[in-house]
Amino acid sequence: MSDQGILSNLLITLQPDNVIACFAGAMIGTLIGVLPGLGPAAAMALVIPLTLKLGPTAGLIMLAGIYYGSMYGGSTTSILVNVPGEPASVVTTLDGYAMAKKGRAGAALAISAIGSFIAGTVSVIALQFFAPLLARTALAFGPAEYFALTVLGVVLLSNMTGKSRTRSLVMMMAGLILSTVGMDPIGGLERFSFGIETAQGGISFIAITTGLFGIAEVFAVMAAREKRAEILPVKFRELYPNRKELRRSVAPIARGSVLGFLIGLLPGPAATMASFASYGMERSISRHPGEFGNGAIEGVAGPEAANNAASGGAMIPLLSLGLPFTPATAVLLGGMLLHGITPGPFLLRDRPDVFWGVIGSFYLGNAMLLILNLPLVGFFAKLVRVPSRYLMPIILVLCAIGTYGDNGALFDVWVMLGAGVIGYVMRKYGYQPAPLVVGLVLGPVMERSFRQTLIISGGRVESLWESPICMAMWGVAFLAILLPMVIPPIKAGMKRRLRNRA
Amino acid sequence: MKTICRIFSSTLVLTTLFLMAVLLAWGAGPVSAADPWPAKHVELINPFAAGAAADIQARKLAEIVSRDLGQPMVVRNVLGAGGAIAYNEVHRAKTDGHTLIWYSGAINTLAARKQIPFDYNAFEPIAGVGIETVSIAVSKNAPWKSLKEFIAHAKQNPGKVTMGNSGMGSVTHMVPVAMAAKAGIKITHVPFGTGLAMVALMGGKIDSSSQHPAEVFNQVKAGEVRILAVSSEKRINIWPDVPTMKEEGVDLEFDQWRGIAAPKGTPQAVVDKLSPIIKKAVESKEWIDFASSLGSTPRYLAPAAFAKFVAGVDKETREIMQAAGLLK
Repeated sequence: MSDQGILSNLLITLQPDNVIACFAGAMIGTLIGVLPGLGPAAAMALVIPLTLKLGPTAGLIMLAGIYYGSMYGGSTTSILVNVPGEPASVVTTLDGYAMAKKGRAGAALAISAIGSFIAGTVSVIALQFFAPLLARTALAFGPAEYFALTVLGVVLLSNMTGKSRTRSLVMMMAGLILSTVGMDPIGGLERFSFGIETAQGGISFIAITTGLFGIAEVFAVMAAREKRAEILPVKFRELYPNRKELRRSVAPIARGSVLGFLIGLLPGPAATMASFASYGMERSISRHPGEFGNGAIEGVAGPEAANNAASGGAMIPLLSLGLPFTPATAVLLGGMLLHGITPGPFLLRDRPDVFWGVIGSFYLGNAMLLILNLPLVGFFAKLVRVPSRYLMPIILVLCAIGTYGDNGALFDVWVMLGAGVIGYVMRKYGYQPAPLVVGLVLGPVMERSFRQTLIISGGRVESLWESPICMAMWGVAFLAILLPMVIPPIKAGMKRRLRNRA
Repeated sequence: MKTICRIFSSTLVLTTLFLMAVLLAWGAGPVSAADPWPAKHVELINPFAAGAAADIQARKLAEIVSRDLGQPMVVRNVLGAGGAIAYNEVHRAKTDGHTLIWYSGAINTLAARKQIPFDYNAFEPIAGVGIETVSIAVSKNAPWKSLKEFIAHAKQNPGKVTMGNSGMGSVTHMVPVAMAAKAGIKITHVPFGTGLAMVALMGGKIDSSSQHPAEVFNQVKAGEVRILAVSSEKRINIWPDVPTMKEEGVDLEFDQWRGIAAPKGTPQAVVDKLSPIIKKAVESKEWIDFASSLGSTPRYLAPAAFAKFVAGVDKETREIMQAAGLLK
């Protein structure tokens, strides 16, 4: 298609009804993201009947708006009150909340909005130009590659928080074990459900994260007898990131965008994995790793960019192959089919208006969300100053509603409460909940892909590392384990030799 | 121990825990039952994930039915444990006709594998809506041009040929199991999630895959994969060139079926009122066009015929599972 055609199709997005649909979607998405519990997939499913009345282009633009709007909103509560609004924002609590405690909530919120905007835009540009090429690459990943990838994830992220490797590993394993509750994904056998009906479907990820972070935070605030440190009123200029913070965020946002986009091409909980991977990477290459966990802006900028880029990357398999890799893109596919649109290689040929309309809405929506979110920063940053005696009960109620609303099961609320108590005790003993969440996310993928690989190869263990992609990933994983053990003695030895020579 | 005491010593923490527990236990209060049906919105509990072919059919049908019902029919996804959680919920629900299940072959396979402690007898069938065939797909680069060639190859290489399905015990698993038994071949079944086998098939990780048409027709249209055969009685509209298994010499006819049911004990008046509304919806041009575009075959069944049909499939499912050693 000629460039003029693309442009005129992109401009479809700017028709008034499409702009309104985009705005409504982005608003709903932001709200969904802010509220803990309800995720984008569930919210999109609820809105589908409404979009049917809007017609295909406006309807899909609205669904897409909810999809990326939720990624913007997810970080807000992570930063302000240590409650992740979305699984993909769990990692933002680590440094975002620490920044808020230091009075830099505004800066953290602004950086996450800016990072999301840049990453979102970068991923749409990549989507627009390289979609078919990248879609092919995604197909190179089969069960064996996923297994290697999850192993690599466990190894690289096991020391994500940098506190104690042993404690992190314990938490990670606890997460992996928790992820085995419920129906076995391959054999269909029930495990560890103890006759509890809801537990057959597994332990709710939302219940665990809301409990470990949100409820535990409420308990911690209550138990702290002394008044929380008074947060000084912030001047307008201090609401936004200062020059040093901006400079430090540039590279993490760029790295997060690329990393997130690539991870977004793969099936599974891509946005969550992308944010964790970005955090791990930023921490390990940072010149001041000690700041991570105590309010390092890189720990907000990188992951928030990564999860937005991942949601853009996840559109590629959907639009160019017609394959949905994540629950949220599956709903988007469902929405397209209901409108009589078939995504896949022929979408661009058959319905360029829809294809470019959706792409255009990504550009427009990202800009809109930035405009929507930046002024809100001032308002949200003030929320931190609401006295705990009002703020904490509200958080408690929101957590309970969000957790219940996710699946409509009271059992999940009990799990959340239990996780809250455990999370509170864990804090007191210095155990970080984030690695547990990583385990919970990676566990099902790891188990399923491991068993699928062995079933396909008829039980040959070699099949786990035969392909070149697998070999590379296993290699990196081994190096990541060996190097920290080998390098210090070598360094010490070199130093000694130098000293002897002198 | 001392630390633990100190941690919980805060009376505030304890009081809050207690209050939350009380509130939660009190939680679900009774809702007043009303007389004329439907008194409020009717919930259609859907055991399938939002966005899946089964889900969008439920939503489309609910939209059409709502027009004549007087109250909205709302689809709610209850996921997990291969549908067991959804069936349990409806089984337990009040029999006032306001909670219905998006009924399908899962009731047969779940019951046969004892994943739910009841079977189709625990439900009041309201209407059969249609059937969805199972298709056997291979990559565009695969050497087999027909199901006959595929089976011949599998015969020479027992256990070497892999076939993906959407999950252990699902209808997309039952069909290849039964096909292998009838054709006298041995193939390796690999469970994936709904639609995920397609990724592995296109990436060349598995030799073939078994799924409903809606999960594969995009890729067929794009020429990425070929369909060797479908499991239904007749060829389906969207693929007039694809033979049935019977035509290819495998004496098998087994489909996913869909319909709507209520928990046993639901008043006959509800069934009598809803079944004709669904009949009208299923026979509407709007539904026929929509369902056919997804490769599904609309077929209304009245309550009695539907009950007989489900019982027949149940027997057949158990026979297939028995032969494959999957019965518990």
